[in-house]
Amino acid sequence: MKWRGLVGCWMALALALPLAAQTPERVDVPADRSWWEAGDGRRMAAAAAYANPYGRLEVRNAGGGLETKGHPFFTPLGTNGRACVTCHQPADGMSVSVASLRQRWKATKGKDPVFAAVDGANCPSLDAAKRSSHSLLLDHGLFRIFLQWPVKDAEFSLEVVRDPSGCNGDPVFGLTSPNPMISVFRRPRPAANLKYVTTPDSIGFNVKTGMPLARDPETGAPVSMQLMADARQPTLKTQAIDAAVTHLQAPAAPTRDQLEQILAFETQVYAAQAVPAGSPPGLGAAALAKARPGLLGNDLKTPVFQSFDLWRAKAGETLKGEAAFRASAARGADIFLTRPFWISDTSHLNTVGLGNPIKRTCSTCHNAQMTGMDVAPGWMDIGTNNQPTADPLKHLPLFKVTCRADAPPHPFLGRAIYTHDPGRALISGLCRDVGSITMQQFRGLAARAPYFANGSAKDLPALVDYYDRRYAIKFTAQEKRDLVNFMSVL
Amino acid sequence: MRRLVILVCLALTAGAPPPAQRSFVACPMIRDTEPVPCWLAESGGELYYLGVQGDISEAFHPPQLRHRALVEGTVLDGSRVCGGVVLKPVVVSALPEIDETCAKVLPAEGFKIADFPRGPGPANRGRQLATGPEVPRPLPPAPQPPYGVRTWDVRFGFEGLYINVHQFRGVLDAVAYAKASGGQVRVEGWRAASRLSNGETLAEPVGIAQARTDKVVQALTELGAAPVAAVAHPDLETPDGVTDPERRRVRITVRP
Repeated sequence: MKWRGLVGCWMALALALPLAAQTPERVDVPADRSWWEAGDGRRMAAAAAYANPYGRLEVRNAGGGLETKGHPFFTPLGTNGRACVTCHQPADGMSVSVASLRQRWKATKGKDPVFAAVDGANCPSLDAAKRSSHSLLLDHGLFRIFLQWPVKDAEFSLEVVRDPSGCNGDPVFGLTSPNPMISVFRRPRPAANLKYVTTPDSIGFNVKTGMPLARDPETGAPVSMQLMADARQPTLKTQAIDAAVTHLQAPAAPTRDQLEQILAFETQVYAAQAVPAGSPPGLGAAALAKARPGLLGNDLKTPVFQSFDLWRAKAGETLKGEAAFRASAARGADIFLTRPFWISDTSHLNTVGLGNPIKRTCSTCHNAQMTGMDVAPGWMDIGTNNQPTADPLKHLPLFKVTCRADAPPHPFLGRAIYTHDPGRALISGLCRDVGSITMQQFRGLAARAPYFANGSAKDLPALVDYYDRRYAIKFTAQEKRDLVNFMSVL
Repeated sequence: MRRLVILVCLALTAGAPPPAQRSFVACPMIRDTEPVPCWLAESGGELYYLGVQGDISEAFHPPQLRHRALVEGTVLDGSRVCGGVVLKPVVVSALPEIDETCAKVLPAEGFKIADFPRGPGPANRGRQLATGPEVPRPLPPAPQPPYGVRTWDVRFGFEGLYINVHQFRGVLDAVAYAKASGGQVRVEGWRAASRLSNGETLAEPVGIAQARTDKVVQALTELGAAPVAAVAHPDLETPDGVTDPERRRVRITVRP
């Protein structure tokens, strides 16, 4: 497509002089050095750029360049050789893309710790040497998330309808094993721009539950409940401990000093698609480092990703090349902010006092300034996990959830729900939460396909197509291109 | 199953409700008007206007298609909006069970909405700029002595356990007052019934009084004002077709 071809030429201007003037250390990382191995020991520059299909992604350390040798985010903490950085790659917007995983499989013949059997295989009981044992990771970017089953006081029972990975029926790792676990498969979230992700809604009220926000177990302060797909961990600290013990197979939680270093790194690293000087003020990693979190962006005066006026075409103006691409991205920002459509049957949006349906825009839900998350705890059921709205996902498990007769049903799916991932319900035990997933930030999208927590959108056009189908929006082809271009520059 | 219980209960008498009162269960309908959709419901051959699409901060919280709604309101003055007789005030409760017959989206048919809190797009308030100076949100004034006994009622939709943002402010006020006064917090929760305009009575399930009480106790406890006592009242008070929404409540009492 022509617009894709245009991206490279203007993105080559990325990280232009104004950025260099602010930070003395800036590097362009070559493609063959883009994968960050655990224990690599490289220095992480104050600002580094990594190529991706839409241009370049910039990763910026607000605290300046970082020596990673011995740093616990970059050092194996457990028994499987992984570090945090293994699944939070700078080149991939501090997440990890399918493209990078495939390259890594090829380069290491499947020996890289990212393919560790614990969750980098479809099930640990499979032959780790075979590519097919890692198909969910290599084809869809999905890691196995294993959670205790049954959920305490759950309003529902659950049966496995389909189990292509074999893990839910596995005698050692399955639902009826001696240590019963449920396996679902999810994408890793970006470990960047986290001041936005961790800032709690200022009203202290969780509109999804009608209750106070959860609290930091150490300080008692309200937390955002936005950190993970199912919001199961309240803080970066508890998330780091959980990740170390599960994904890194650490024998014990990281030490206090290690946790402090991990948190200090995570809270100062910013990732966004790089843009040249003279671009809209909300774009680029430097803008993320500078702006304040916790602001509502569903507002014409304070738009979610700030103003795109600098890229807007003048009335009657015919643009070509780079300028045409920019004008398209600006139109995409307008569509995102102002094009109404019917939002219907979305649990935790149409059920919180807004009515079902509601005629609104993308920014109704994606309303937090700079990230496009929700300022409220963001779990919703937009249908990506639950049938009949989910795409055909034959590679994923399918569960039948049956809600107790005395429990309130899922508001739009009732008491018998077919789901590929019960989502928040695996933590809350509530029927109304089945399939609900916390929305993700929009930054660095170009670097970390596929999208949605279950990786069901293989690229940005597929992401737009899902919404178009799910909500019968009827975007024109031009509107779809504009939205993709808009998202590619975030 | 937490099914609503319909009791034909003509014998329950609290006097006939005033003629302007309306209480009925119906499928809600949405009309695709500009600039925002409006909500309607039909009962007894009459179409009633409930309100327009807005925000959760509005007093009117619209119903949900695919769910029947309990509508409890007062005919304002006979005027019509969106083709329906205006009910104001009105309380609408989306009933929990799915009803696939509730799916009607009406065309605008020439109707337009003149009075609406916001359009379908973003707001236009511009409260703060992301990179501008931070303007601290003003804190509500702390409760001041002398302290006396105070109560707050947290109200719920029919068969509802959800504390909406308006009701949550009451919880926050009670917590602030309890902390400032050092008072003891007590909680009482009720199950209620609604007297419908057709003479029937709609009663909530027995367990809801306890569930509501537990919910408010949990909220108060998480906010640092744990109650010293909590009581649930599963017995129904006599509905009157007027004040029934006020009975679906949990009362927080702070006694310094």
